[in-house]
Amino acid sequence: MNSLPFSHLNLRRNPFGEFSAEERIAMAIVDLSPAIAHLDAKRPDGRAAVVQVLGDKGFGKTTHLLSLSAYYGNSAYVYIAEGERGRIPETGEPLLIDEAQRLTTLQRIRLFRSPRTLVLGTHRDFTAHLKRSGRMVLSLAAERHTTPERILMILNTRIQSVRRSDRPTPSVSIDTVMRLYKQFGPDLRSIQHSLYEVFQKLGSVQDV
Amino acid sequence: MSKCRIVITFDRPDRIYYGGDTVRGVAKIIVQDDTKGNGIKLTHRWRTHGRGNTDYGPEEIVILAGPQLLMAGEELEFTFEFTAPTYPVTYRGHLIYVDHYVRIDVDVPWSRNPWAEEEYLLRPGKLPAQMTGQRDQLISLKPPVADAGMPGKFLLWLVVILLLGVVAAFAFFLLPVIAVVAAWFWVRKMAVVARVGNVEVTLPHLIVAPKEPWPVTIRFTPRKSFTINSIALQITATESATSGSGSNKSTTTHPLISERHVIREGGLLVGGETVDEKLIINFPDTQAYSFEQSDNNIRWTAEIRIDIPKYPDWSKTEQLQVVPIEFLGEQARLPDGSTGAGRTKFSGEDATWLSEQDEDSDDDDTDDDAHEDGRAYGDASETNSEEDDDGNSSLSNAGNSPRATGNAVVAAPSDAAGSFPVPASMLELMQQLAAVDRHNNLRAEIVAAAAASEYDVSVQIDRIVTSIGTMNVGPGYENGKSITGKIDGTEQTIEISTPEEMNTELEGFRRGDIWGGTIQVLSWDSLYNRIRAKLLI
Repeated sequence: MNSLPFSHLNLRRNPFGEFSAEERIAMAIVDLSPAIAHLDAKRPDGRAAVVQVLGDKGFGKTTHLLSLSAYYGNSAYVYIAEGERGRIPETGEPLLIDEAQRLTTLQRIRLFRSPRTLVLGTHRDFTAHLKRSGRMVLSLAAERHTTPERILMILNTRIQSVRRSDRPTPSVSIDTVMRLYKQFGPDLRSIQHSLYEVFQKLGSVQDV
Repeated sequence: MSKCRIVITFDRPDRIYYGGDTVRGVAKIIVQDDTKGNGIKLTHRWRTHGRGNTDYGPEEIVILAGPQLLMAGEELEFTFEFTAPTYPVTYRGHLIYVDHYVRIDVDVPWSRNPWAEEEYLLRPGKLPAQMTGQRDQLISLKPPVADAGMPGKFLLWLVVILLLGVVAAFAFFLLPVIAVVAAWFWVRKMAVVARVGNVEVTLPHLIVAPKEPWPVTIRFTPRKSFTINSIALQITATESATSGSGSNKSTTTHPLISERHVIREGGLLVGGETVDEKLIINFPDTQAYSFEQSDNNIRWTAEIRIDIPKYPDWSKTEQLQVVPIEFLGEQARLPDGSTGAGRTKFSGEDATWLSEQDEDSDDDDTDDDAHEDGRAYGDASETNSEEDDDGNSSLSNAGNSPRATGNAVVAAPSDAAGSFPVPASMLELMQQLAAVDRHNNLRAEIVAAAAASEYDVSVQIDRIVTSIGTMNVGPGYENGKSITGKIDGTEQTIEISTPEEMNTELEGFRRGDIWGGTIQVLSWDSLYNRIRAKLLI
């Protein structure tokens, strides 16, 4: 209790604990270029574009949305909690809606027909609905980044983000990532939870 | 490259401060690029980190400088001081960590602000204002919430009334189900009362300090004769951390302590004959003080249970509030006669607090603390490197004038670093451990070298606790126990995880008994200065 937290690992905290939205944005490793190109492109019909990020829990939908929100300074981000009716901000471009499958039918129809640029994080594919509303849709799979090599980069970026000094820190090896990938698939959150326990018990700087 | 580098230095090299102390230090700003600064501010607050969402304490801001031009190559130094809060104290758990931070921000227009942050360690000192001396009911140590005002209160009541209306409407339709469930509970309760009568449990102290003698009394007159398995007290401490929100929300719990004390052994209770039992236990030694926040909680409970074979048990659970003994002053007296008031003392105008624990090296626990203080110094020294490229800063010894805390032990540079031979016996392992300073990672390395070997060991038992899920040492151990004690004939403490199949056998052991087995060393627990091992099966 008398030492600085995780100083024995040259870290400031367990890198696989929960981080704030700002910290997640700072650490995010997602390729936003297809989404940005699609959102910024001028349409002949003048309709604003839609990007939907599809994926299960823990696959990186929120990280995608938060990163896009940080990229677009005037954006509005809204998260719709389970069992709640989301309040849609009147201003902000693009409008990012996390857990968009929870929009009410009326909200969905209004939004899809509105002139607003949309980024949806969703478990449900709305391509058909959006096309019926005359929208150009780009669908991105949240887990497209979660190859073992990308996971390795994400995990080690987390470690580096909480580094204390330029002395060595532990790192996660590709063998460990392959093993965790076999166990959890592209569910990054479960991989991080598993590594949280490993780092809690890690006595000294070493490769994991 | 960041426009500025920031180095934060505290006046105490070990960064240990006690509640109410003055935290002093210097913030050094090294300007790397010409820029216009809109001001430099210091923020201090506590926050949690770990498995759950972050909970924060109130933010206190000190303006160090107003708008000014910052010229490349310029070095600015700002001394700062503020009063350390009294609560919560620094905590290192499994799911939850609580730390206090000092953060310096240079406000640069149209650019990312350069900033740096450093932790300091807060120990129990001055009493929180909420501690009034009353110990028979729980108190909130959270900072007072601002009054909602009349409109706020009106809205709040409106929401409550609406919610009650909705619940009542549903309750009407669910009435038959509710009635059946309620009737079942009532019949069950009456069945228990028919045997045990009215049970009076007295817990005079719901606010309790670690290691403090803690009394429990139970008194009842059975209405008829019956046999019991036992009357027992179960003390449980659990960390719970919630991460995510909405459907992504998940709560993880981690048992910290689960101690069972038998108040009365099994046997026949005779109808009409009053059972009047009193048990005084030494409350578990812990630094996991009660902590209640929105996403991070440490909860302590005491359950008293009359275990009746083939019949519903009688039980009562009370929530306890575990606080540092310093918060209880003269009210808490340890078995060695010391009180909370005597644990810390003011050392004069230097505003330096000395802990009695740190001064007394004879006692086992205090010895640990004294060493740990030394380790803190060592660790602080380890972080005395220059700031890294990310703009994070660490301590710099230059110009630092450490104040005499009396408890800081300078870790002598060790020349023992490197690989260690595998010890042939437990005795040799302990000799290796004793030969190196504990203020670095050498003990961890020694233990790591020994990890592949098997050792026979005899342990003088201090405690046997159920380690449900706490020691993930392999299959078969998940629901086992862990034995804590000293290696027989030595002062070296050890914690051994045992498999579930040993549970029954271990129930026969008591504190002070000698237990032996063949173990595999797992790791070095620097927090408790002990070896972690598992019993081989």
